[in-house]
Amino acid sequence: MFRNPLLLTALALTALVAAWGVLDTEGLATFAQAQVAQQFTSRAWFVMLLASLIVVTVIWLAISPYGKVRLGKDDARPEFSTVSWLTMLFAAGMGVGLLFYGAAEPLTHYELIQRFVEPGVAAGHALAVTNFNWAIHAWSIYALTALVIAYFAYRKGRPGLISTPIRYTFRRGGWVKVVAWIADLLAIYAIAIGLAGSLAIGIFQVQGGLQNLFGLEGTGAALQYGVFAVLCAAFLLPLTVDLSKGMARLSSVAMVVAVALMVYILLVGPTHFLMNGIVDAMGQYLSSLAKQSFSTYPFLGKEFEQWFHDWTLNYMVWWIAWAPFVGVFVARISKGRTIREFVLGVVFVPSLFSLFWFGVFGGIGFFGVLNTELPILEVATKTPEDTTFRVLDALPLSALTSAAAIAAAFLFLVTSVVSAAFVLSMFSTGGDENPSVKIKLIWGVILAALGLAMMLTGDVATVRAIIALGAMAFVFILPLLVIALLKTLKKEERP
Amino acid sequence: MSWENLVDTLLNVVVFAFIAVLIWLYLRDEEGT
Repeated sequence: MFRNPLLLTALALTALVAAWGVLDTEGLATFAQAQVAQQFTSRAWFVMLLASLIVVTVIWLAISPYGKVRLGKDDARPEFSTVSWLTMLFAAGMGVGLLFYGAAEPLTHYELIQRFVEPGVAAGHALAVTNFNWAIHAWSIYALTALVIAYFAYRKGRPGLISTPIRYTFRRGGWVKVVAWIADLLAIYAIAIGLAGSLAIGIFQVQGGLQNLFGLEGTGAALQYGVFAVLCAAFLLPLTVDLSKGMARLSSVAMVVAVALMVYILLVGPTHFLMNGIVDAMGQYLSSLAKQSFSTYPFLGKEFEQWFHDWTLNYMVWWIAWAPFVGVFVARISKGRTIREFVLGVVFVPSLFSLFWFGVFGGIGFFGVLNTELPILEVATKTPEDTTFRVLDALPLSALTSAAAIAAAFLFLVTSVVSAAFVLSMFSTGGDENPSVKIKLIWGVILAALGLAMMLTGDVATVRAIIALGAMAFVFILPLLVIALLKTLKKEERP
Repeated sequence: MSWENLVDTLLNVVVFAFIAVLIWLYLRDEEGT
């Protein structure tokens, strides 16, 4: 372990950020916000262009002759049936973020847009923007990263690392080794910071839910530490034994609970209103997709620019931060598929699910805002972590559904930290698929410390700024991987 | 030129250079591949 400079550097770097955040939370928060503001102002155009070009590349790969190339040897066949593969993709796309933002995000956009247009029109726009942030762009970024990992690992037989495409493709120049090493380091850093951020957001969500369910107002900090402690115990223990099957089962339970919640709201809530909203938002999303893919809002004033930075741009960077993590999982389950099958499954199925999810949770939020006197809009803008529970409160059996939402959020958190500790250990040990318990535990502790640092900032916007800062450097690695893939694909014999 | 403008220019110049490097990498010949 002590002879692995990548592992030591990654541990030192992440531990340093964790220590900074715990000892001087305000200092880290101020630094992250200032840096992100500067980087986003200067590089918004580049991030947006990159994200949209990734969408174009992924779709082009599927329809080009390369679509027939298999992610494995030519005679390889998929390990999982198409149905279980699609179910697993569903699970990969689910996470605590959906539970947190399902109702809160469309309402937050609505709050701004309704100042300029009629409320009914604003609701449609708000839902379309949310769909834009969560659907095809997010999944194209994941898909391309997973595609790169799977192609070089299963077709070329190289280690499933972020640096592999760089080492394999670019063979001349002393810079290759250095850049490859930095690519692995930045991927590890982005995953650790991104995951810790989700951990903090999840803790806010569980805390909000518990406060709402048991009327624990005024117990903010104590409750937060309590949730954090239980969470740490729940994920550190499974790291000491091999519970990969158990974790997969827990993740499925969380997914089933979340999907059941969505179906419950759809059926018990105003079903026709929600279905109309879903279809309407799909149309708005598809018709504005090209325009919005390149929108950077330079002419609408500071307020819109800030809103664009805080949401769409932040998400694009966030997806990039998560891409190596989700990519490893998606690559593993997609071994043996052709690029065309892969893109159709990975990009379009989870995207469709996102459209449904936000249509239901966002739709029920809008139903409350447009047709009732409930203060849902105020809750969404002031305490977004409470929004999902306030929406559930408006429906029957709210104690049960709120408890289910809290349980799902908690299970998503535990399973993602356990998987992240595994991926981080794998990446930092040169692709070892059975990393030692010691290394997994060290990563578990670092993720907990980083999560604590982010939790102490006490506010989701700051957490998102820290995530964006963590992933900003990796934004420059992703295009290198794409170039490596395209260049190597060119050498493939036309299938 | 204000300080902010200088930083902004430098950050963007890095991106321009990066894009140029990407194009060069895509076009150059790799021996042995």
